[in-house]
Amino acid sequence: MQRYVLSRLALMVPTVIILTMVTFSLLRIMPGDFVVAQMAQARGVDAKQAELYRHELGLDVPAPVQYVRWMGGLLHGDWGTSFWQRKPVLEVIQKASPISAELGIMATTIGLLIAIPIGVLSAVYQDKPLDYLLRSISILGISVPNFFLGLLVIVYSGIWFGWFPPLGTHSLFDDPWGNIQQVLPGAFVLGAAQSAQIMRILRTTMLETQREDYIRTARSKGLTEMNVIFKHAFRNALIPVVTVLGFQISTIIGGSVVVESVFGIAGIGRTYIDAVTQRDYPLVQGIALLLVMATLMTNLLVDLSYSWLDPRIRYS
Amino acid sequence: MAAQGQTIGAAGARFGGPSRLGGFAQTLWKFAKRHPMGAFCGVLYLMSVGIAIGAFTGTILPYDPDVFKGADRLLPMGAHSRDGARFFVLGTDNLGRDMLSRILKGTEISVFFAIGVAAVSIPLGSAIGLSSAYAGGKVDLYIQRVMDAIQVFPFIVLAIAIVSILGPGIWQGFWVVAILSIPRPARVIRGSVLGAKQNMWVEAARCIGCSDRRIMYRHILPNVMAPMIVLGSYVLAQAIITEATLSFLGIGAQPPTASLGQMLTQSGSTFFQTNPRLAILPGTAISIMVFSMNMFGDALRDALDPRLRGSR
Repeated sequence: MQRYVLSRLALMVPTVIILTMVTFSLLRIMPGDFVVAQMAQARGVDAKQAELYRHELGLDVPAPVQYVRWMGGLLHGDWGTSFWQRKPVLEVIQKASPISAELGIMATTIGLLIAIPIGVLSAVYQDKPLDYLLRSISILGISVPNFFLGLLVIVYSGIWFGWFPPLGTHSLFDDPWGNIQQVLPGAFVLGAAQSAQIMRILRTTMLETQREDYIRTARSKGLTEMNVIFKHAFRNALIPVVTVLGFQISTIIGGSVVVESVFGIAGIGRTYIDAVTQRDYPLVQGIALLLVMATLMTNLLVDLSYSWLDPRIRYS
Repeated sequence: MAAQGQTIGAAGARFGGPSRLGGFAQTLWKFAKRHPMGAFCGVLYLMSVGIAIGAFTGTILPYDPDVFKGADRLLPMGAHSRDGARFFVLGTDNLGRDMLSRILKGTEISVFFAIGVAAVSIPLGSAIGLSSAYAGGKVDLYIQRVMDAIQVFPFIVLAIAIVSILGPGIWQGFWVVAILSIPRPARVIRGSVLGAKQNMWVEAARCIGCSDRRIMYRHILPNVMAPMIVLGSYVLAQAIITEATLSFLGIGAQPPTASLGQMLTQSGSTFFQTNPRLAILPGTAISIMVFSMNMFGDALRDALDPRLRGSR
């Protein structure tokens, strides 16, 4: 087990290196760099000034040299300096990530809170009216695109209740109410989509496990229905649920890009899109690295949880 | 084991296959009776495919979806044009284009986009996931790392980056979405195969001398197909939403093409306060399509999986 974890961690290193190279080259292939993007706004900068500017930003050397410099800095804990914000990348990330992490965690919690009861109930009452009703509601959550749902939430809460999501940054600790008001609607929109995916996988596997022999055994032993469903069927239905949760981290990040722009939340997703548009190379690279590591760690945790959930699966 | 092996064959016969037409109709009727909601959604889905074909050939479009007419701007539902020559069931948008025609045309793009994405990603993804889990060991480890690498980047974020290199457009969006959809089926199939591999009947099949290929395709694959069907409908649904999101962000289909997502961003969000119809109609069209695919997939899945049939 320990060896498995260590070898997985070791294998992450090449993956991360390759992905940083890919990001790095993608950024350099993109037409236009930061200087061009800036010059488009402030006309009257001549070629000589642009040259100086590039030298100052370290963009005048060939891309491989830039990569080695960046990597070297990274090994010393220096993630580079954002071209646009003129602040260390690490600082920008530290400022933007808490609210995104909060959004993601809250969305997953809301998703699970909706999905688990609905998934279990609709499997237990398969093809009964309750099953149809609950599933329809849940699946509606995934069928409405999140930008459309976000738009509806903003406009109709404004029209009906006179409530608008607050703008600006509200820290969870300094201004908890403002923070919740800002994050909750977005988390609801993201969580609604998530819940449907979790619910249907859970329902599907619950239906399968309910017909297994060991469930019949559990029933004939005289266990209570609650016990049969939660201790025997539910736990065995969890593997696919965990798989889905695992790959939802990138769904959440992607969704948060849209949700953050719809609700005006200054999180990682929005920072990323802005950085790509401004060709702010160090910032894009930094955020990409962060997302890469977060996803790889989640995948590892998902794989490890398989053997905890299903003792038949062993890693050696 | 034999019964498991016949699952797919039996399912094929029940759903058309080589059986007589009467038998097929009977099967459909049985399906509709058992899963009324699923059957209804299946019909809705077929209708959207029909609309897509109709819009593609232009036979069902009342008017040209891309022709502007300044005089007919923002007409309400069921209004005649200023010169009285045309009638707009769903009104017109901010450029005086017929909303009904635009929505039908947008449906065409969504449906074809989704079918294309599923046709590329599902067969590739299941083949990769099945071989990866069956081979196990190093092969599995490396293939999963490649899948990780693709999945690490969120869809939209990577799409934005790639499209800013290739230039915006529906085809660029299509290939990005199709390739990025592969890891999902691959992972789900892998997870199920890992479990199925431990079963006694795999060992039994090996004992009677089945080749790896035969065990993989005849024994394991039929047993892990059920999650794949759910996933297939999910991929279709997800592709429609992704196309809409790309267009909403302005990097999918380009104007004047009538894509549903682009209608939401172009006229929809600007005129939302005064003319919510411009956003609600395309938004609802997307939602109905995605909803029907999801529900139909679920019902089909319940019907196809032998383990879910009958009493418990």
